[in-house]
Amino acid sequence: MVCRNLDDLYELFVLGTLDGGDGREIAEHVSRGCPNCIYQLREATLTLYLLAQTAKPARLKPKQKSHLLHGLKKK
Amino acid sequence: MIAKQITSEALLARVAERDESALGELYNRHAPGLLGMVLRSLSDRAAAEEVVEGAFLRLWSGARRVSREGASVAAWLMLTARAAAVERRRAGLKLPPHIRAKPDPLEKTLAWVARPESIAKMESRRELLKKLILQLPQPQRGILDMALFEGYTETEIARKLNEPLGKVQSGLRAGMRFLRQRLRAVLGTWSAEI
Repeated sequence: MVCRNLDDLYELFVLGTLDGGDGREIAEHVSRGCPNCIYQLREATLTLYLLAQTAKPARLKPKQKSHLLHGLKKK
Repeated sequence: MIAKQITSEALLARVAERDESALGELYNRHAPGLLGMVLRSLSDRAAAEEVVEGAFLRLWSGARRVSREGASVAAWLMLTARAAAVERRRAGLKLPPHIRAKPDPLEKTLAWVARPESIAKMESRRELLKKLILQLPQPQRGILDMALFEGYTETEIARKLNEPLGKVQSGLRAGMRFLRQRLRAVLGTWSAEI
């Protein structure tokens, strides 16, 4: 199976956007440890990280951090 | 007080040794961006805050493994929070979970997560990259946002926009290709024109 034709699909695979056989093909490659697919998926997460940066950061209340740190004690 | 020059990955190594102050510093650095992203998926602020907190609790539990695998903390947090937000949104809309979301997309995928050096390089060229995203044609940007933030599949996007599936698929692929090629050019991993 050649994975070069899958170049445009890796980001969409990571997002879960693909509905049909395209996603299954990548999943099969990855399950067989295809190094090209793993590399491409790593590149894809970089592209998605860039796109996610378009969201404007939001201010958090200090109590939220306290709540998180308090929650660690229960873990 | 933790110095800003300490990398997030060095902090992660401390989190793996159960250093709560290191997790607190990671929270200071990354939580505002994550909350902003999650609020694009979930309009309920309390639910969005829960998702962000959940991502940090997972990091606390999985720090050793994330650290050992050499994944970028920022990218891991983004993917984790995004997946949780989208699944919560889809459950609220009574849409099925993403196929890849069962049982958990992040358990077996650490090898896919971008490396810290790539994220650092990207952060150092943030302003240029912002301009790059603005070059993305608006219709493509719209459907990429629907996929990333709203978590719709390509079929669902086509249905929502009342467009042919093939047109939506082409737009999604072209949009991602546009970003990928220019990102590689900016980061010097490829020689495409910007």
